Amino acid sequence: MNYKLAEDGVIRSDGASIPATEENKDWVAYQEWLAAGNTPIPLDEPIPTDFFNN
Amino acid sequence: MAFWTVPNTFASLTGNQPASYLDDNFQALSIAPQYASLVSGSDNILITVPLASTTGNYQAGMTFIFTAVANNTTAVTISVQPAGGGLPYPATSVTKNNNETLVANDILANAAYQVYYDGVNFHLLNPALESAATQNKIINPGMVIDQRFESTGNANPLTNEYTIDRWFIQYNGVANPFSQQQSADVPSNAYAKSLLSTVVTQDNAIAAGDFYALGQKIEGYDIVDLIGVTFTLGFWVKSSVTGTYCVAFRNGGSNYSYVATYSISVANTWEYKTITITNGLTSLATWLKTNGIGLYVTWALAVGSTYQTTAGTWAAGNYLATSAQTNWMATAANQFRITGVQLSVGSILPQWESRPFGEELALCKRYYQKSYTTPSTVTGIPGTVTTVQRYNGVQGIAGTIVYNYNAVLPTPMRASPTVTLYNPNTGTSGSIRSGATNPTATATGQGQLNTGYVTLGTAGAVGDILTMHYTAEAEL
Repeated sequence: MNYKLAEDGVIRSDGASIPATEENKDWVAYQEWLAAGNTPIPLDEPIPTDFFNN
Repeated sequence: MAFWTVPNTFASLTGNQPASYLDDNFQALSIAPQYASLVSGSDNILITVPLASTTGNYQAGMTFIFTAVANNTTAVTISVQPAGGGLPYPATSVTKNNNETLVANDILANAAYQVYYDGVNFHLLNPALESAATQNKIINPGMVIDQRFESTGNANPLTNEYTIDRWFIQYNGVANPFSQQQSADVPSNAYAKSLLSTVVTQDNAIAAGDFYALGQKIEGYDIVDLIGVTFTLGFWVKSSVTGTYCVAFRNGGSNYSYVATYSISVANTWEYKTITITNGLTSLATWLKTNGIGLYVTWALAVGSTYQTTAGTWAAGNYLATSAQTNWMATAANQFRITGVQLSVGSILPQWESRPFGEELALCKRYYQKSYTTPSTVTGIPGTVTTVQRYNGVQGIAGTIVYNYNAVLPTPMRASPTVTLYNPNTGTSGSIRSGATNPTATATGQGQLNTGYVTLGTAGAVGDILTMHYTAEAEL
């Protein structure tokens, strides 16, 4: 699982767009992923070709 | 108003009585509504009314009004005790709706009821109207809605993931502990589906911090009337492993818990269980009353000592079971089924009644919805290659952002959802169909009512035909 920063949240590597709100459990999971020491792909970088794990 | 009265010489009454109130033996016979001065009983109700007779019987047309002192639990009879003394009139069956037998909670404590006698039975004119299905706090209690997997099952649900709508699992321990699937194995014809869990990776040495459970998170808006008010949980369960099991009720902060136990006495056999929480959710805890997690209701499958407490009392902390909890995880292929879950105010549950399918589906869509078909002859599992019910649009401005391509959600969601776009032609997530190409695509700016506009990985041209499927998830 990986994340890329988006305009108003993050994009998960399965293509899911997650809004930046504590009411969203996927955003809470992303915060836990960050707290575990992980780093998302910055907003201004293009999505790597292998980002989506389809 | 003047009455023609009969002297009490002819009757066992005191004082003169209106002749119309007397039968052939000059005993009291009023068919005017009689208000009960005393009421007792729940299923065999005794009401005391102003009738003065000591030897009389019911007459067709007699009407009585009483305030119930308890909920009925099954069929009901009424006996009338004349205030004038003597034996009560015979216990007589009470029916409703043209001679239907009463079921639990047709009569509720502290509510007023009117019955009339037709010469054979009493007719209850105003049975409690609210249906069991409406009262039930559990969404998808009969496991009939399965938008994500459509009975194909989830071979490896992760902790905090959902398989059947609204039902999540929670675990810490071995990886891939158990699969989940909608099942047609049910207790009776009154049920259509159950939720089946099957051990994939066994754990026969439960560590202190291990736990395995399934359950439902109830939104704060929907649990307010359970605070300080007795409520009851009922459910059908079938397990391949007998023993003691636990159900836990926890607040959204998981810092207050109530654990109750139940026993599965026969393997692979449907059993019905009820658990009553007297005085309801404790006022010692903080209960969220908005759109977050109000209440966790979880069924333990195996729980380590860190999450064990004493049964039958509220405890400060995050607890799922007692030390008596069976280790259902001990052997691969163990099975656990559940359905017919009811959680309602009161100490007695109404008879099981499922909500209309469309109503149940709409309740589920507050938390998860999709553009694909929902139970249909056409497979609608997200990721399926299908153009049926795809969402269509046209690119209005050249570039990577398509502002005018924004699906409106048919049911407002609990919160701003996680939106995943799918390519109808390839089934790929994070992609849509644009003309004859398949660019990557993600949603931006979604809300409770829409999927947001689309950002493409490859710039499109004005007039490109766009098609996509989507899922929107706002589960607790």
